[in-house]
Amino acid sequence: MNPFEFVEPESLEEAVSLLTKEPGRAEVIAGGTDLLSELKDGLRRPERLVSLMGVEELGGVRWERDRVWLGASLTLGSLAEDERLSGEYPILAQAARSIATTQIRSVATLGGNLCQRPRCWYYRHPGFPCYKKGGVHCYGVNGYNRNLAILGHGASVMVHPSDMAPALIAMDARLESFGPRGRRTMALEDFFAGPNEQQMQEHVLERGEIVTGVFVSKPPSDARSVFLKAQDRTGEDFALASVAASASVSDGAVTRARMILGGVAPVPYRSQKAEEYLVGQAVKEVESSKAAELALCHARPLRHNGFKVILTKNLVRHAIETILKQ
Amino acid sequence: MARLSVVGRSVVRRGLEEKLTGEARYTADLKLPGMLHARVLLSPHPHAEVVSVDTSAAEAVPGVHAVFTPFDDEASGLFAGDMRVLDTRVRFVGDEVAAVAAETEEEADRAIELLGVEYRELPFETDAGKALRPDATDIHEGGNLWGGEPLVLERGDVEAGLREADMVLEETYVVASHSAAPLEPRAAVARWCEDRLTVWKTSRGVHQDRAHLSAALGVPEERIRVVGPHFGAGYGAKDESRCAMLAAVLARKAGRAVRLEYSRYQEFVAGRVRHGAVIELKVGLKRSGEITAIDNKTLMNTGAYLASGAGELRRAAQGGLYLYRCPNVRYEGRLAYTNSPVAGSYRGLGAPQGHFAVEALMDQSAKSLGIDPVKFRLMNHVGLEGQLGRRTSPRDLVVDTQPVEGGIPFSSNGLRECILRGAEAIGWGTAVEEAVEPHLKRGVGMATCIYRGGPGWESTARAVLQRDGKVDLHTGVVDVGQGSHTVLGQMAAEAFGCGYEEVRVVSGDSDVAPHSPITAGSTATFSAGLAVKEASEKLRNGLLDMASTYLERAKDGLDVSEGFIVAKGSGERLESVAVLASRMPGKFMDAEASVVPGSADYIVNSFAAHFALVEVDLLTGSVSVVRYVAAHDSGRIINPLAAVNQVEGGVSQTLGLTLSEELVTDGASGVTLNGSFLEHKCPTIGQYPEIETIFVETEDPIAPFGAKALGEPPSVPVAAAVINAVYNAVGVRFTEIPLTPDKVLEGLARKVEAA
Repeated sequence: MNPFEFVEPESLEEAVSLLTKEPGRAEVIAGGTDLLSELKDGLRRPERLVSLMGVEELGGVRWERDRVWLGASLTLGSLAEDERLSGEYPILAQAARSIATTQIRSVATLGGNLCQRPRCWYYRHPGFPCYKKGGVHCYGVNGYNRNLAILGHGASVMVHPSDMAPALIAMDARLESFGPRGRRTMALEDFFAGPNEQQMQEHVLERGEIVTGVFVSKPPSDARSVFLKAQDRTGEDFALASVAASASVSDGAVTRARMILGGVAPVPYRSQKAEEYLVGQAVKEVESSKAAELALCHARPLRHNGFKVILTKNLVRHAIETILKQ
Repeated sequence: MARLSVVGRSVVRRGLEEKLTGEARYTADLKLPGMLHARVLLSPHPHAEVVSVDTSAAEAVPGVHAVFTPFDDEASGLFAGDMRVLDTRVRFVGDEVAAVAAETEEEADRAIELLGVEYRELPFETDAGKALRPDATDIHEGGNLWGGEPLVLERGDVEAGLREADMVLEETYVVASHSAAPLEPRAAVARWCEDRLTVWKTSRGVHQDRAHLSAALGVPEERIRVVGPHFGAGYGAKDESRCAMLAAVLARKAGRAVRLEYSRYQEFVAGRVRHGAVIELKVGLKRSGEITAIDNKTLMNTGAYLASGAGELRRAAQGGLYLYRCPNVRYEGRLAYTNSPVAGSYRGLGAPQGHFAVEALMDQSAKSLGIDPVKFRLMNHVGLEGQLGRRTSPRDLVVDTQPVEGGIPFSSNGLRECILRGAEAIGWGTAVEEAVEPHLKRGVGMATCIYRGGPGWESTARAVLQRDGKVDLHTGVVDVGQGSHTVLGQMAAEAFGCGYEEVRVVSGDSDVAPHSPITAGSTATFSAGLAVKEASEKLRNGLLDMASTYLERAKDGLDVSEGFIVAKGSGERLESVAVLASRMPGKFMDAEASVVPGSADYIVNSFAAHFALVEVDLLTGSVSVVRYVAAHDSGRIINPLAAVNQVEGGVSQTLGLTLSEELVTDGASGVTLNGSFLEHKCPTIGQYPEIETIFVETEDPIAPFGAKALGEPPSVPVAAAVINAVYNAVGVRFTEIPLTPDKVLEGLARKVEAA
């Protein structure tokens, strides 16, 4: 591992200025569970790490009248164990609890989870100068692509590894950021960028811009939701596929639906076809397998990952059956 | 079975306290004055000539003291058959190319990056089947088929057996290569004092390591000392590698002590993996349930070097040859060199692969005949009398623990009782309790196992009575974490007649310990145990001579018991061993014994029957083992708790081979893609089922205190037991392991299509 300078600013302004002073030489670090392994494997060699853990305003959970604010440096462990959150936003706690191990959750942060880099084996191996590391070639296209994308792939067939993202998008979360041009918010769904839009990152942040937190509106009283995740090693693993589903039902009919797929596309994949099918349907009439077919109708599996189409359909079907029973 | 006083008790394992408190020192913990740190460069190419290495930039890095390349004189030494200390030809991505030693690890890393290696790339092949095609590139002189011809073993006439069958079943099984993934990566510290070399290393045999170092470096064995500190697991995989040699050469070049520890990735890639195998199996059956023939064609991938491939290829045969009573059996095994990571020893050495195929096809046979799988085993398993036929080997020769011929009985055989008691414990024949969720399907399955019972190589032990009345037991056998020192200490105490606490075990140092074989093949308890027992009995005899004079009583009226000289019969304590020892004429009294273990009349084998209750998730394709019963015949159990540990460890570890572990090589580049604990999916505590262990305690007449092998058998029947249970749960016969969710989902989809 190359030597680097470690700085821990106490304010956002200071952090942004440290990041923009010598562009390209500094990296943001929070929990470090992703970045440190990249440093150890020699995938990145920053000269300076700017820690966000000293910036007080990035931490914690803030309850507002009709929404909750989750700080970017809130650990996944705190998120999973917060009783009020588990009660009012159960899907978020479900997603958080499914991530990694107790030890990792105790340091990994929400902001880091949304900004993490691909888990693709070619990306993580220092021997492959792949597209997402600035190269020209995506080795996953013709290589061992069992774990890679079945949907929405472009210049890279990576999948976005975040479990929090699908769950938060299913709750219509908004992301707040702070950068050289000040503070802004956007729908979390719009935060993610596929390989054709961004090569060296998976989001739309500008240089020096930092995720500060996520707003989640209070769900309507008739809302229900679920997060399902399939893994190779149950517990302690990334998703082979995940599904975050939420819906509102009134008078026996679905009035609002969100169907977000994780681990199957370069960004969290929102299946509008499945949502459109569900909205307006009488609960009794819903055919979950039809919704599953629609959710995966654009699937283009690679040589080794046809099973992910079956798997994701199964999860969608089960998610719909689960929330309609709630 | 006669009750003994120390043998059969769960005494606390030696070294446990040090490990629990973190005091235990492993090789990589050692620090010597002036010690340098080494790093290794691994080949990025699967097959290439190393044309040149420009070391000038690396040598110019401040702090660098030595650089070692294949062009140095010390590089050409050959060891383990086909491996050089460093070679000008690299044969897989991960083959060691060069090494450096520097004041710090960072300086060594920097120097490695600055080595200018010029390669001439060669065609390569990672697939065993393709490597044996005539047009494949030769990885070693003499071609890619090890030995130049297949290993053929046969009894009777398989073709005739298949002809007389009412039904022939045929299936091809595939087992993926995976890593033993020890928690401790391999490491070595080397130091020269004038012309004497001392090496501390992750070792499972200090004398074998000494021999390898001697051969490779051209230094006489008498001038090499190998020490094995605490061992952080190896499961067989930590032998015949280059790590210690590189440290030794760098230390000589630098004139300083050198420490080399492989990184996690290097351990996965340049360590030793389990042989991937393709097994084509045919079984001939009579409608009555009788087995008329077993025909087995096995192809194994040994990777870039042979390592223990020859033993692996042989042991993969034994399940098919001997587990079932059958007059006509044949095994044709081929071992192929490929440009893949080196396959070597790993718990079970081929038997888990071979048994997976045999026991999966026997389950299918039972089903095809409409016979319950347990009943089918009871009808056909090999009994105490052994296989039919006439013994062909000379009658005065020690019987091979892996015979092919018939006509030789076993010294003991508890297989039937294993099957019966295991079946009862799992509730075989009663309805499986349904899972709560409708998408979870449950099933039970079983498989059996036959394995070498412990006779291995000649073993020596020395027992020394010290003046404080304690007994030092000298054995060269390394405790690889399984508890052999505890068990051997118990045997010494029992045979001598003192308490377990009175025995100290001196081991793991080639200068001190009597010459011993490596800890391998589940032989330590049996083979080293025989030597320990005999040496301790001799020492007891010597003490009784002295006691007879001292107490002025006839020797045949005396005995040693619990640290006292006692009167035979009455048990009256006449004098303590400690008092007698303090009055010994010399400074100590010792006795040594060398034993060639085994029997000329009997096959010594261990047996097991495993039963699994699994749950298959139809949505995700994941398989979890809910309950597991492992019934073993390993003779008398010396230390029940340590024995249960062995069984539970073997079962849970082998669930990796069965369900999740695979070391994946990129076809286009030969690069191993998943050399990490995250991506090479070893089971964790979350996947461990509730395991019930049953010991069917036969008392083997050949074995020391009746104790047979237990180290590897728990890993042997696991895959088949689980895969057979999956069939029982969902009605699909899976033939490839690890059985990961992708295979399950695709198999279930094929079943739906077929219906």
